[in-house]
Parts: sequence; structure tokens; C-alpha cells
Amino acid sequence: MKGEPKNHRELFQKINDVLVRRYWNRLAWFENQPLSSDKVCKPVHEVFDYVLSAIKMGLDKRSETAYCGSLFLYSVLRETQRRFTSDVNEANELHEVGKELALFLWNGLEKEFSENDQVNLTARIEKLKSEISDYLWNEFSKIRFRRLEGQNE
Amino acid sequence: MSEIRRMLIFVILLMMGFGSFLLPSVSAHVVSEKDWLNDPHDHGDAKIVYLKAYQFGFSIKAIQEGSQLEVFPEGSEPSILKVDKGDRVVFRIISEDVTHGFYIDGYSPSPVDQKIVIQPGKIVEVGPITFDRSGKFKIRCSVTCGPLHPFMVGDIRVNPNFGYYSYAAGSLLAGILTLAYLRRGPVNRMLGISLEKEVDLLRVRGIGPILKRILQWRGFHFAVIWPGLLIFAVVIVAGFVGNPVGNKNFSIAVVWILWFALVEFMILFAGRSWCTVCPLPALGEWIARRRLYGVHRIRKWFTFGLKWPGSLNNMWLGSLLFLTMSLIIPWLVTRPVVSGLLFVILISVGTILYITHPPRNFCRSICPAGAYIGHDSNASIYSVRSRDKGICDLHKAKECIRGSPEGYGCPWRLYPGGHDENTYCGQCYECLKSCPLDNMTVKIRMIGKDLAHMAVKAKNRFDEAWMSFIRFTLGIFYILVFFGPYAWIKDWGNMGVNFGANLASIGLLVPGIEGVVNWFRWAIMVAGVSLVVYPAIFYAFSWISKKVAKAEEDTKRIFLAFSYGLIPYIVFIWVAFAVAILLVFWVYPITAFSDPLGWGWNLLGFKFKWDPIHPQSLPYVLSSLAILGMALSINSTYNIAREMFKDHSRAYRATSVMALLHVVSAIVFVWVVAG
Ligand code: SF4
Ligand SMILES: [Cu+2]
Repeated sequence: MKGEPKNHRELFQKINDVLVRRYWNRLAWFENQPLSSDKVCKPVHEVFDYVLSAIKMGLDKRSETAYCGSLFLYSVLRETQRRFTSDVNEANELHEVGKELALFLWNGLEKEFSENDQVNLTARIEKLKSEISDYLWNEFSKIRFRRLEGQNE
Repeated sequence: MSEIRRMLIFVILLMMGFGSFLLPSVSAHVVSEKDWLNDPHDHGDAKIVYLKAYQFGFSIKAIQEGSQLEVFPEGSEPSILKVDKGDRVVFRIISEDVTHGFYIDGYSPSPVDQKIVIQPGKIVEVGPITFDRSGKFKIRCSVTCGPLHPFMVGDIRVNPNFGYYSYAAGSLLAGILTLAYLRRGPVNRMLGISLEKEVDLLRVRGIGPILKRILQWRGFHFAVIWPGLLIFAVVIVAGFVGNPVGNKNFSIAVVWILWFALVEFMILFAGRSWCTVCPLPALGEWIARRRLYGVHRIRKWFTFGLKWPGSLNNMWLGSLLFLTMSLIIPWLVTRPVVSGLLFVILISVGTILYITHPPRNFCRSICPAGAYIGHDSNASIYSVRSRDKGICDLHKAKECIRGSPEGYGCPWRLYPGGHDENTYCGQCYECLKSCPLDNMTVKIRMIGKDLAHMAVKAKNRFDEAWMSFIRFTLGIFYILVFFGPYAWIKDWGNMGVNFGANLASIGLLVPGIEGVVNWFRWAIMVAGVSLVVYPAIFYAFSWISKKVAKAEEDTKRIFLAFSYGLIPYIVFIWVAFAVAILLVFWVYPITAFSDPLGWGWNLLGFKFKWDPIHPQSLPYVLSSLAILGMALSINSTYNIAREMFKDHSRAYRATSVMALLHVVSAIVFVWVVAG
């Protein structure tokens, strides 16, 4: 993935974008207890964990990355206390982003895994995970800060 | 909804319109004289009928009127007694082999109150009975006398048989009325009810939300399967070690009476609901998923994941297996061990195939019950469908196919959101769980909604057409064989073997050469009628339809398309069969739960004696059902033709030709049950 920094950035951007509209907007921005990074990035983390296990188990890339789209969607639904959505665009968008994220991870990780470097794999995952979490948390905080300011004016 | 309700009430009223009444006991006693055919008593003006009871039928040796004695020569004794209304008849009955019973529908009191027993070596005199009501009445054996005991019957025809004439005329009239109705060119309607109207069952106030919660509950499938699995375990055990006599054995009573009959009602009212609860492939499914009811956290299957060969991706295997089972049906439904073996085989194959070739390929292509249930379900009022296909079109991920964290992708390899036929929908309700848009539901609709577009699409579905022919002909044929007086057919199918069998006595089932030869005759007859004769007639009628309608479509296409029109007919004929089985044999399955192995236990504290419910009304109840099926079928044929030709007048003319065939079939049916 080092060869595709552009996609990397773009993907992060896209995830951020969708999360703002489809997820964070539904979270209580001004909740009394501050939201944790874990809650804010939950769907992303779930995809990370799934892809890692799926690669380790040698599952099929195409169907499992597609499934990660559903995982992403359902994670958002669950975190926003819903079982279903009635908005087909929402379902499509969340699914697409989840799938792209999974594909991105899979493409990047599968090589390392095939080289059988388990330690390296886990380390890279952790690194990537914290990278994207930091990024998303940062974005989230910025927006929240802006909104809080807007509220105070 | 209100129309469907009205129709249901109509059917129920039809079936209950025959009130029962209590019958006085008849005089029956053992007479001591040795010479059977020489009755020393004076019976006044009564006819004396010398009746032989044997495994498995009744036949008339002689009839005496006054001093006139007509003796029938050996080998051509009739099994149908014809009398005139008002005749008084005394029966002098002997048994040729084992102890039998004697019971006449509508003329004998309940066998619980008065059981007439015919022991070998004794002459039993019954009557005089005054036949003051005309119609067709069955003589039945009321003492379990061997494997085919339940089907040991003879006929009494009390002339003039107005019931028969009026139902035969009724078939014709119903055909004409249906055609008169179709003449107006009703579009997408079935006997006046719109096929476009559907009820979203999960949105019906009151029960809808409850049902929805149940169906979307992950534990639902498991919760309904395991009781069935327990029952099948008992079936297998009882089949192997239980009482060798079928009707005393859980395996026969529960599978071939209760299950067989209930499935027909399920098809009509609840589609493939049997497949929802069916335990046969369940073990395989649980093993493959490594879950009893939950969804994979990581989607790792315990299977070989082999691909199912495309050439088997149809119902040929299933329908031919159904036919094969039909060829051995006299054994299957009377010998516990044969049923036990069948289910061991089905469960093993179902389990293994799920693991080698997941997911439900066994159900789709092999299971004989699955084949006919799926096929017939297309005339069901029940369907699992998407609420709004437009949403499915927009939805890219289609979790109903691939699965989601809440549900598996369709194990029947369908696209649930888009499908519009019941054939291969096993009603597992996974799509209700996996769809994130809550777009899947249960829809109730009028019978025959999907037939027209299925038929028009089916350019090469010979498998489904032949399934129709097999089901249709066998439906009528079974009634003739099992409830008809022709003991020789039963004997042919039975290979002349007079024993029941469990695993210990399985050796008794080895037939003699003659038995095998006769069985081949029977097999050729059954297979010939269903695979060749009726399809040929159907083809001829399709050809005439084409000519009469001046249609451009080739005959093959018309023939295949019209075969779908038979499905409602099939459903009602089999429902009729189911009604006959349940009303006559309801005692056996209930008692079997109390005494599953037939060893005389009484686990649940109840035991019933054989006591048919108002059997004298069966000819008319059954005929009514068949006529209703016929009318639906004619209407269906019209809908198919209309969709195919895109033109009322052609469709109407083609339908009129097929209607003739359907009316003739109905008259044959009425003759079988009432004539
Ligand atoms: S998942 Fe639901 S909305 Fe999507 S295609 Fe399937 S049924 Fe339609
Ligand atoms: Cu008998």
C-alpha cells in the first residue's frame, strides 16, 4: 500500500466523509460523557479485525471483502441502536466504504501474510489501525469543536 | 384479504355441509350352520349377499334373491355390490384367512359402539340392512388384519346414484361457468379475485409484528426443527424395532398419515412450510455452519464447498425419486422397516451433501418431498417476497444473497429480493433476517398468482411439466388404488406379500417370482400413466389448443406453459386425498404418540379405537374439492394463455380446449370417489 499513498489518503477521506454523514451525525455530539475513540471508530475497527482473521483463515478475498461492507453497515446500525435502515442510499454508501476499506487492507496485508511473517503482520495491522483511528478521531474532534463553537456563538 | 377469507369460509362450509347423525346398531351374530352358501333362515324379502373377506379386500361370492341364487365363478367375484334404494340386504360373511372386521360407511354404527368381527371358520350374519339412502358407500375392514388393512375396502353402490350424477354434471357445469366467466376476459384475476392484491402479513395489525419478531428471531429455525428431529428419531427407531404392522407403528402412522396429509394443507395455506421445519438436512446445515442457530462471526464453513453440477440443477431427480417412491408406495406406507430405512437414507444423504456440496442442494434437487412440495407450492396463498422490488433494484450489496451479520445468504441459492415463484424458496426466513432494509416479508395472495409468468418463462422446463403430470395422475390414481375396491391392484403393488415387517422380520418381505412379476405390471401401469399416457393426452390437447387459437407459438411451448395450469388442480386433488386419509385414519397417528412402537404402551394416557369421521360424505367432499381445483385450473390456464398470446380471444379459445380435458379429469375423479 505504500505504493498508493494517493488512494490511501482518498480512502481515509471517503471513510471520514461517510462516517460524518451516516454515523457521527447520529451520535449525540454533545453527550455528557465524552465519546471514546473506540466508539467513534467502531465500524472501522470491526472491519480491521475481520480482515485479519479472514486472511489468517485463508478465506476467499472477494466474498469476504464484500461481506465486510455489510459488517461496516451493521456496525453503524448497531452503534446507533437500529436493526434496520429504511434508506437504501445509506445501506449502499456504508457498504461500499466498508468494502473498499477491506479490500485496501486485504491487498496490503495478504502479501505479508503469504510471506508468513505473522509478527510483522500483526505489527503492521496495529500500526495502520492506530493511524486511521488517530486520523478519524482527529477529524471527529475538529468537527465537534466547530459545532460546539457554533453553538456558543 | 376479505375475499380470501370469504373463499376459505366457503371451502370450510363445503366440507362441513354434511351433518352427521347417529346410526342405530345393526343385527350381527355368528350363525352355526356349516354350509355357507345354503342359508336355512327366512329373511323375508331381503337379498342375501354371500361375502368373502380376505387379505386385502371383500368380494361377493353369491347373491340370493328369494330362491334365486346367483353364484359368481372363482376369480371373477365382484368387489362392488350394486343394490337399489330401499333394498334390504342380509350379509353372510366368512373370512378366507385371518380375522377381519366389517363396517359400512354411513350404515354401520360407530365401530367403537359395535364392532363386527369375522373370524375364520365362522359365518357371521349381518342385517337385514335397509339401504334407504342412495350413493356410494364403502365396506371397510375394522380389525387390523395385516399390512394393507387400512386399505381393505369394498364398494356398495345404492342406485340410483344421484350423488354421482349430480357431481359429474356439477363438474361440467363448473367448467362451463368458469368459461363463461372467462369470456369477459378478466385480467390477472382468479375466479373473481384479483391476483394483484397481496397482504403483507407482517404488517397486519395485531399478529403482524409478533410474527415478524418470531421470524426474525435467530433461534426460530432451530426451535422449530429440533422437535421434528426428535419425531424422526422416533420414526426410525419405531421403523426398525416397533410393531411390524403399519398402522400400529409410529413410523407409518405419523409419516404416512399425519405428515403426508398435513403437508398437503400446508402447501395450500403455507407454501413450503414443511421445509421450514424439516429435520432431514438440518444436521448437515448445523455442522456446515458450526452453529445451531447463530451466525458465523468469521464466515468459515465446515464444508468441501464443491459446486453442484448444473445438469442436476432442476427437479428431474426429485420428481423421479417421487415416482420411484410411488412405485413402492404399498410397501412404503405399510411396512415400518421400509420407512425407517428410507429416512435413514434421506437423513444421511442430506447431511453428507450439505457438507460436500453446500448449501441446500439436497433440498433443491434430490429430496422427493422437496420436489413436489416446492412444485405444488406455486399454487399456495403464501409466499416469501420482497416488499418493494424497486428498493432491491437500488440496493447494491444484496445481503439476502450474500449474507449479513444477522443472517445467512439464501441457502437455496436464490435472490430472495427478486424472486417471484415458490418452487425453490424453502421458507427458512434467512432473508428476513439478513436484509438490512427490512424489505423481505410474507405475502398472502390469491392462489395462482405466479403461475402465468412462470409458465411463460418456462421454455424448457420439462422437469416441472412432468412433475405436474406425475403429481396429477398419481393424485387420482392413489385414491383409486388405496380407497378403491380393486384388491388386485393393491396386490400387484404389494407384490402379494401379506406380512408387515420391522428390522427383525425384514426377511418376510422377500416376494415370490409371481409377486415380482405382478409388481412390474403395477410399476409399468403407474409409470406409464403418469409419464406417458397422460402427458400424451395433454400434448394432444395442447396441439388442438394451438390450432383452435391459431397461435404462432409452437406446441411444445404451449404444452409446457399449460402444464403449470395444472398446479392448483393438483393441490386440491391432494388436499382431497389428505381429507380422506385424516377423516378415516385420524386415530392412528394420535394413538401412535401414546404407543409409538405399537407394543401396547399407553404413555400419554389415551388410546382411541378406529372410528372414521362421517366417511359417507367423503365422496362429495372430495368431489367438491376437485371441482374447485378444476375451476382454478381452467382460470389459471386462461391467465397463462393470456400472458403468452397477449390476446383475449386466442387465450379464450385455447383455454376452452384445455378446459375440456380438465372437466373430463374431474368427471373421472368424481367417478373414482362417488361413482
Ligand atoms: S437485501 Fe433486502 S433490499 Fe437488498 S436485495 Fe435483498 S431483499 Fe432486497
Ligand atoms: Cu381385514
